[in-house]
Amino acid sequence: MNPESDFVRLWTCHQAEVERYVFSMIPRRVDAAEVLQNVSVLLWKKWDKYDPERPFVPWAIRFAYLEILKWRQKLAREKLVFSDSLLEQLHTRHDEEMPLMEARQNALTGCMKLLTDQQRKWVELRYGRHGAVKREAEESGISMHKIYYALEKIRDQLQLCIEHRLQKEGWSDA
Amino acid sequence: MPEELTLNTLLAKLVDETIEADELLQLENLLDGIPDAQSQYLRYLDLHAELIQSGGEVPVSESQTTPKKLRWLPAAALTAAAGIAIAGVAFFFSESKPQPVIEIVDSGGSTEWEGWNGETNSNLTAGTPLPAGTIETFAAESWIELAFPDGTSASLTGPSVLTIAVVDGRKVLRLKKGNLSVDAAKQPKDRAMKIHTPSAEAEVVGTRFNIATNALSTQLTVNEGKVRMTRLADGKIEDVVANEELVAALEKGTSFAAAPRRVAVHAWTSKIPRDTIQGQHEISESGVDGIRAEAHIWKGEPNNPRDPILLHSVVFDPSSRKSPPLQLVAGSRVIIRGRMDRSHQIHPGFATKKERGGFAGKYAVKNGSPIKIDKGGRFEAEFPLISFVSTNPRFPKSPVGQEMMYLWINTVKSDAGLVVESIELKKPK
Repeated sequence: MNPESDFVRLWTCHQAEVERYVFSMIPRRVDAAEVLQNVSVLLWKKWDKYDPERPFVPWAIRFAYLEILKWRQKLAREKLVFSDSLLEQLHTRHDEEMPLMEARQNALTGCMKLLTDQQRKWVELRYGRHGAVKREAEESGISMHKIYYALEKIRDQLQLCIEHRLQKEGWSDA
Repeated sequence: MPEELTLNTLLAKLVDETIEADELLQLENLLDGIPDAQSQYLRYLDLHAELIQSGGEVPVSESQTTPKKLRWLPAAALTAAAGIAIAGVAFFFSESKPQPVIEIVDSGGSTEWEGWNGETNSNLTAGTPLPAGTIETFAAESWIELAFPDGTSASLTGPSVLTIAVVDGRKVLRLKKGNLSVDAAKQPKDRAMKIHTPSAEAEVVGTRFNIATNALSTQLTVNEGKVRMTRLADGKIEDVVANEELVAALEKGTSFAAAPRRVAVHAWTSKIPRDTIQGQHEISESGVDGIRAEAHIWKGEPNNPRDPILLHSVVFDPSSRKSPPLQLVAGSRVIIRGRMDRSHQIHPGFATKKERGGFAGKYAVKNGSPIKIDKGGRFEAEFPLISFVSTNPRFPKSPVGQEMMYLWINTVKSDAGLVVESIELKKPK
């Protein structure tokens, strides 16, 4: 295997995890996608420094954090960005949350199955098709505000369900 | 608790991108220096990210959601993780056996299926039913043809990774990389087949098409019917109809408009390194670009396993994103130029797709060809198209009329230091 194919293999395998981290620090999808692209380029540049004995994801997340700070500096005058200090706190907290995240994802699957047909429809509209919420609002006459409110309640319900499932499975700090 | 409600409402506004500057400041104040609030924030955002990554789909069963991956845990979390591992094992074994969703029609080369619970199968012979999971075809010579119960078929060729699930009766495919051809039977209107790639999403009701993707772009060619494609970079939607093609790239400023399928050409000269799929780019002392063959293990066909042998391969893609389709015509010739450490046997071959879509077959020079190098270690070898024979009785006997997908040159067992400097497909004289 050459270095490029090693990199592509690991990046393909773990991109979703790094992407989730970037999302957690930069919730705007377009910004997160741009930063993720920069992260992949940066990781490739630094690839010769990567120690294959060490796990890939924490290594990649360290660089992702640097890219996030760079992005933050670029938008320093924007009001819709967290401060450096809060980003640093969230980054530290993310390290501690990581071990629970996979269990949460598993629990979410079960919780999704408990949604009503209407709730599933809202979720699929919001997350399955880009721009579908707006189209649905126009076609059904239901206001965007109402749909977003319904989504807020669905996410709350899913959060509660996940906590409940994790506690049932014996995760004391869930 | 009102504080928690306020936090969740602000988080909802944040993820739905309706938050105002003063509300963001309010959120920052709620999070700053408060670990519990920060945990709540990260859990909420992770839920949101998971919903985005799954496209809001509800999986068939709990055991089929997230492939189990080994994860690094910070030292502080190791104690908690030990407890988690035990809970995880108990959870796994309580699950019922997943139901098959596809059947293998045929396959060749090195392939592997991995289920959600980590179970693997590398003996993917015709007739094997498979539950939801990920199929990987490892090498240029690898391919697999799959069938769903409704008659929909899918072929995966070359180094490719495809995850398959059926979610509430809807087929959901995730092509991480490589080449996929689909011949979709008519799908229920409210359960259109979905195909996700790193840069695009496609919705399919019933059609034939080819899709090729890497980490940065996805190329779609529709042969029959219509496919609705969404570019993930900006959410733009485009319908692609029969005989049209479309590229969805993550790069900014790239066009996203369906265009008539380019007219096929019958000749091609490699561009190095652009057209390379496998091998290492190097430049000789005299300044000539070349691709050095890369080692990998061949374990034979799934129906005919053999003792592993070492191959050194170079693989080219003559129909990469910017090139028109390359159609094979009778009387064509393949000319390979390069260098080796010593005179040695080389084994050229190629994979093809049908003119109107779908994997067609693999063709190779039987038993390879002995190559003599000159004093400088260089060689030039010409192979008439007729010398490439079908590697499986299922494939058409002749590749004439088909389009070349990729082309490989191997040396078998020993490393002869093969470096390919150019390949040409020449029209008949």
